[in-house]
Amino acid sequence: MIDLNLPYLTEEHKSLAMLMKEFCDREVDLKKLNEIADQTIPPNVTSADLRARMPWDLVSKAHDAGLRQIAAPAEFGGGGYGEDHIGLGVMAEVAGYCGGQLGRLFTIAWKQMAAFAYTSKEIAEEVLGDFMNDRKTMMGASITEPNSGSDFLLPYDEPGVAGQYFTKREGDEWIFNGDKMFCTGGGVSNYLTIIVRTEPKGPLSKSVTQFMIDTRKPGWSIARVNDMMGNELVSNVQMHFDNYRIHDRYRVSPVNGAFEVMKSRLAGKSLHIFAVIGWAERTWADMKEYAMNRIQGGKPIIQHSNVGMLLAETDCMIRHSRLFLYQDAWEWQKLGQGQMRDVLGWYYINWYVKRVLMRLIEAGLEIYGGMAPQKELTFEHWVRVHLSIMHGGSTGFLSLVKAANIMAKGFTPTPPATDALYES
Amino acid sequence: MNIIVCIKEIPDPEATIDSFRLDQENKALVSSSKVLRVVNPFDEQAVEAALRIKDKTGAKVTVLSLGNNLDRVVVKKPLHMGADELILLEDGAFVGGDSWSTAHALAAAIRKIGEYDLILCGRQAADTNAGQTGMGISEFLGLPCVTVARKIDITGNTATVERVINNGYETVEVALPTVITVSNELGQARYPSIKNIAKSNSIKPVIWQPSDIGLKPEACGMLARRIRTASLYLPVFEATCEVVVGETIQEAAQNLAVRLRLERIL
Repeated sequence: MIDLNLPYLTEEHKSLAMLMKEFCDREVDLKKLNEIADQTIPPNVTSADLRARMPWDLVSKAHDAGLRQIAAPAEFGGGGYGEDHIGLGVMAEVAGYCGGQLGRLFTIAWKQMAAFAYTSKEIAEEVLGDFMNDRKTMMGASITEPNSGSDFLLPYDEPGVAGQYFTKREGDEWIFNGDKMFCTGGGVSNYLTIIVRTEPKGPLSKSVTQFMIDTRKPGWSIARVNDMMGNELVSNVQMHFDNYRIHDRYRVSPVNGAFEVMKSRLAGKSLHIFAVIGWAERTWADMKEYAMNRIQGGKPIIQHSNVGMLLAETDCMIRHSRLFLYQDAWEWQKLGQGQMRDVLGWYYINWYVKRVLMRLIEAGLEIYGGMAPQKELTFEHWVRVHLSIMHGGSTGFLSLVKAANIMAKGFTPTPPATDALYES
Repeated sequence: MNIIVCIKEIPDPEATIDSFRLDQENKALVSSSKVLRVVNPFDEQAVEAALRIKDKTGAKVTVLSLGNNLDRVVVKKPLHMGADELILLEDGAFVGGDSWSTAHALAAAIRKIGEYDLILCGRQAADTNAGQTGMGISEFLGLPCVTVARKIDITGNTATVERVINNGYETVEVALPTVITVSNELGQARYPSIKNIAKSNSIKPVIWQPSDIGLKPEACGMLARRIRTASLYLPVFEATCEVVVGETIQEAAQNLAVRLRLERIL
């Protein structure tokens, strides 16, 4: 189990973490979840096919335990923890540690709850009403396009270069035409937050708008399933929009102001990283247990210095990641929504966690030896899934590029960093 | 109706063996600081039994625990599940006791609480597995005790209890007030509720020391033990193989049978 003796965690946070642990211990069959994720995706798969693969019984039990809806606003029947980044973070970490694939299943939904700070009450009631009343209501997200991946995320801000001209307004409606490439939860989600170019020629950072779309409305189809070497429980698809119409009331950012909204909601994205780190901690713990029991040369291999050192190194890196994550979450929580003491920290954690995962993969290959790629070990499944989700777009070196851009342009935090941080 | 549930904080029974170290000199088992502390699972079932009665009757459920430096995340869990009040006997004097001194202190606390119709305990603690405390409490308080309950129904001033026996269960009736120890056959305890977790931040448990319950420190914990640990050790498992022979197979078999009889295996 993860170490809950961190100064960032209150008694309440620890109790929530223990609730998540208890739920996972009772309800989660790790092997079964992995098998579900590894099911072959047939060609021409439909949304109904993808939804049929979901572990709905587990999702329903998570709702009974209050976990599925914990980030939803309390006035809509949720737990009201949407702005408790540390609370959600530790729960995500435990879900990753104790529930493997379950971690991201939770965080994909939790992260979307932040969007309701920007919607009208009417839309919140509509969407959250669905979410609370129908336990098969899923939420997902989409940003990148087939010809605009990393330049959409940097963003590459030369006027009119990145992002297709995708959406135009007709009266009270917006009409979508084009493709979105990597839609997390696409194919299974009833609602997706989606960022689209709404100003055809401007720099991307000032030309995109975010909407919450209802996938039950006509005008979209699955162009392809992003079938990866290691799939998650929640599918990832390319969505093709053909005159998809949505009313302006489903807009969740100012027109052309999505990037500012995204910046204020970066904390939500860190929930995925908490879940990833939790699962990495579990993977490390399994490695250590293997090393303590595997005898070679008359002693457990953990006593062989090469193995011991690898475990020590990766343990150190994981611990650093945790502290980095909690510090970030604490800063978000301390300064309030939309405030950021040091955005560089956020980009560094994205890069650093990727390094941690890659090093853990290397360590596992060394420690498990010939057993590493064997399917009887959960290690190989974990490797495949994480090589698939550690994509460069939102993690890795692109994060360092973003950090370098900020350093080059200079950054003034709002409010002034030191005073706000150390005020008691 | 007033129900008191006694719970114990213990190291996680699922912790791996390498999380513990045997201190042979002090005859103690020492757990790593990283081992999770949890509510004794059988005591959780006792809390669940109390809450099922509360669901039907609106009873008040008071939780009582004993120790020192008790982990609030652990001992508040019954409140998160739906219990109403938490009383802690928390002092260094309470530490290191056996079933007798623990039952003695808990009984003194229950006398101080005063109003009770039903006292519930887990059938045993998952660390020591002594299974004596519930019965000890009943003896100190002069109450009947029904053990290893899998179901409890309350009608008026009578508890109808299904208790586990070797080949099934038997049903007994007992007048209130009474002590009942609860077994895992009761079924799974409910999850803590998130609303209760959020509320419990502001709940401060009542804390009593020995003097608050009319006891001197030397009448508590280690100083009041009646059981002395003679030694504590890890059993050594050795495997040796002795081949029993005979002139013929039948003779060898006969020799083996005799040998097994002499070793009191047969």
